[in-house]
Amino acid sequence: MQIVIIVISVCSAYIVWLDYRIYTEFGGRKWTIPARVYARPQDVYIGQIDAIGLLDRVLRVKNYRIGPVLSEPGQFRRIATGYEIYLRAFDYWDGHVAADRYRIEIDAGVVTRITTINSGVTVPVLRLEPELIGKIYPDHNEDRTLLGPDDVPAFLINALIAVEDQQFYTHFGLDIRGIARAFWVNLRNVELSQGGSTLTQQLVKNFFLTQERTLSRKLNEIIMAVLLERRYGKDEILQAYLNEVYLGQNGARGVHGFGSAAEFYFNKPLTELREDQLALLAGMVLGASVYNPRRYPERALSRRNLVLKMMTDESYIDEQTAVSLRDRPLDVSATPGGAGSKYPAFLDLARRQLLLDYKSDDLKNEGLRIYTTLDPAIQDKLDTIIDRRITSLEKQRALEAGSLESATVIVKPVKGEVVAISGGRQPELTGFNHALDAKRPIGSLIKPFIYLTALSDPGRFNLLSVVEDNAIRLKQANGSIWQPDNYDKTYHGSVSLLEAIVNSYNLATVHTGMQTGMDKVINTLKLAGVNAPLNPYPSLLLGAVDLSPYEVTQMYQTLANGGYRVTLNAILEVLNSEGEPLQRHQLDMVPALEPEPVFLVNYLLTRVTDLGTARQLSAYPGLGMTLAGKTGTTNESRDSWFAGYGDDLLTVTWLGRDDNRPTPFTGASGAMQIWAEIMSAIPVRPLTLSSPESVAWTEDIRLQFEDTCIQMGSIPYIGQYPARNSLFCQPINADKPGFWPFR
Amino acid sequence: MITTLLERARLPILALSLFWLSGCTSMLSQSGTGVPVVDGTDLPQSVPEDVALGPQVQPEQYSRPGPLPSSVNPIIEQSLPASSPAVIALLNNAEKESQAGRNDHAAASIERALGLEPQSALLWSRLAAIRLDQGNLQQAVVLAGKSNSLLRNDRNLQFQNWRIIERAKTGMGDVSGAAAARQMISKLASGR
Repeated sequence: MQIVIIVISVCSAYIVWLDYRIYTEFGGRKWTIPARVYARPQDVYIGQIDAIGLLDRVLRVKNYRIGPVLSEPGQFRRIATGYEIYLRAFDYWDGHVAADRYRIEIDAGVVTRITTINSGVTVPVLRLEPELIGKIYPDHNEDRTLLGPDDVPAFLINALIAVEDQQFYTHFGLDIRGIARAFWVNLRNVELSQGGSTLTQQLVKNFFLTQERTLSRKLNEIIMAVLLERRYGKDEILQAYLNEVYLGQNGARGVHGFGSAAEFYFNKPLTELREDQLALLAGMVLGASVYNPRRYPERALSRRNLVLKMMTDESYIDEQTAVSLRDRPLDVSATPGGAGSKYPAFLDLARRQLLLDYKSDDLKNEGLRIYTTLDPAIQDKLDTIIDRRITSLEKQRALEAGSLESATVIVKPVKGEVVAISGGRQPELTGFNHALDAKRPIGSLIKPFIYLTALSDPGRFNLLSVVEDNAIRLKQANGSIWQPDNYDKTYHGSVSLLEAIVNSYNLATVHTGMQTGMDKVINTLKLAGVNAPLNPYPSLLLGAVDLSPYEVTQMYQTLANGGYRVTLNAILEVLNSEGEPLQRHQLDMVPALEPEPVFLVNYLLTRVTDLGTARQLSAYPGLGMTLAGKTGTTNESRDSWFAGYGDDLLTVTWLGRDDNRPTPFTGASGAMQIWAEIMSAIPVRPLTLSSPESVAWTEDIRLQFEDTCIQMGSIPYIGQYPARNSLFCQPINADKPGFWPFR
Repeated sequence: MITTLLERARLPILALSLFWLSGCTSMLSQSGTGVPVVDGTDLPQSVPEDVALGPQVQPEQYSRPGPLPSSVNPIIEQSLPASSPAVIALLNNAEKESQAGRNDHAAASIERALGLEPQSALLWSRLAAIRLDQGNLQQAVVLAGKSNSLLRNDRNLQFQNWRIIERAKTGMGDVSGAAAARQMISKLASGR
């Protein structure tokens, strides 16, 4: 008797403990949902020039399908004047945008009208849903797209119930008749194998228990299924099941729940799947790897058709519907959707910036939605061009294949937004991110900042000032003598400051830098955003400082934005899993450098691309416009650099070798070639040189430039009119002798 | 005259700028979708030519000082380039959001417009005004300065920018900075 009492009390205590586990673990359940990282939402707007490419891309990547009538979101059709699109609903940072139909009219490549189809209202700017570019996964590598009650088509639930648990809505957690029937069916027919477990049991097994097949585990499963049903309603159990069930494997990651399965197999949200596709997913519950439609399409097809048959048997669909659904192909997407991380170099940057504000665990588990600054169309172009162009440079100079490496950063200089990043010639390799981590001497890329320092003292320097390009010997800090040379190993004597930078003369730069003072040069570099330690040795004047392409981009951002420094960023907005905004990046500017001397330097850099070391640029299609640029080459051509910008984009490219050995390339023959190919493949706007009010312009002048007199046009200056000197040639207009207002 | 000008709020001035920009008599904004819309009938029929959005469009290479007007009325004098319908819609939307007290939404709308026209002094000025409303005085000064650095001879917008700087400096307790800004304001108002 005592033994019986002891057994009963032990059993009761055990059941109470199981019930407590259910209460705490299931009641307090939080799905781990990876953070979803999106590209920037792109705008289509009236007057836009490159809209067709953008629309075609978004429609393809977001898997919009052609529909003769736009009956539901995710459909589009081409019309004679453009496009009609049923855009899906989307949660943006500034609110939910409902699904709606739009007509976009395009004439000669230019968007002329955007209207809503229903009301005919004009929409001057239309936001397109952004591309998912990657996820930040939990440590246990589960992928999950959380479904709410409204996200699940009734057809899917019917299919699941027909095939897995016909008594779901009436049983108490176990289905005795089902178990018996399964036993009987399994005995007779292996193909029609039925599990016999209710959906509740399956959930318990997935949620609480290990996958081993033991009697004690089965016993626990049964008890807990009953307890779960006592505590929770059918809808809640079903919802948990839909999000928990294992439906496949994407590399190292498990695909959990129907939401991520829809993305993984069909590259679409669950709500947009066809009924036959829903039937397939319901059928895969039995064995996600056995019925994997990508690996075993025939097996998957017959499983799907069996599901349809069982749905007919249970009167969820009629025979006619089942027949028409059975005729459908599987239509699994060619590549797995949803998980993609096509842009590891950019995601690397995004992750590093997110970790400044978020805990690693929150990023991986909380289902954050992260909107980044990435422009995927530009990034794709960058990725395809880089390897192709480097390979052709290697062939051109008969170099060993694979010996060169490269990195490129593209930003919007005004807002500091990173648009695209190439971390190396093979974008898929996640290893060393050259754009962020390869620190190399920057060579002549430093020169604009030396001249900026000089021009900030307009009483001493203007663009027409004479500087000496001749031998110089300087003592370095360690006592050694530093004797720099020009790239062409010749002295150019007295040259204008304009010629010195346009032709990138080393000796003139060192003379200028020594006249302004190392401390002032270092101060300019720091204000431009250089955080690396800067040694006050004269060799700094020729770029003896190791910076990554990303750091160089920051430095040039300050120039390209008229002296206003904006810390480069990759994150626009962060929303929580409910779509509520957590954080929005706010444009924050620092007036780092005086706009007037910065304007003079920007002007100088447009002359570099017009007359100087980068003059070859205009030969590239689409680049015959005003652009600012600077070449950079380090000792023995170990590093080839180019930095250049228009109004809208600033791009910095580095080319070199991982083993740091010499290459045959200058900045112009190496990095600039890659830069130009990238920039001629994407929409680039010219640099608008609108001078600040306190900058004045000279009359047209002729200047001695490379030993000849050439027409330089009007030159900007600050303060006093530039004093005439030995480099001024005769005035072009002989009828007006002496019009120079000498002071 | 100066006092009347000072009494005028920023918003009417901006509204007037918009009027000038769009060349249309009225602009209606509709709410609800998060997508700024304006009434179709009031839109300019053709796209302005200077919607410089691609390599085909070349603006004037080097801008030089134009003739200075002998007397400048800060309200009427206006030398801004016409903006695209998209930018006008985003400006309008920002105005609506700002009036509804949603300054962060207003700022986001202006930043979106800056993506289309990064060199628009009007947009920078408007962002400065929003930062002022948000109490971000330091950024208000910076952005108004950025707007000024893109301007030549636009007394109206310069006037607005210096008003923003003056208010922000006053708010910061920067007495001399505010006084210097007031000097600029009266100089611009008197057209000297």
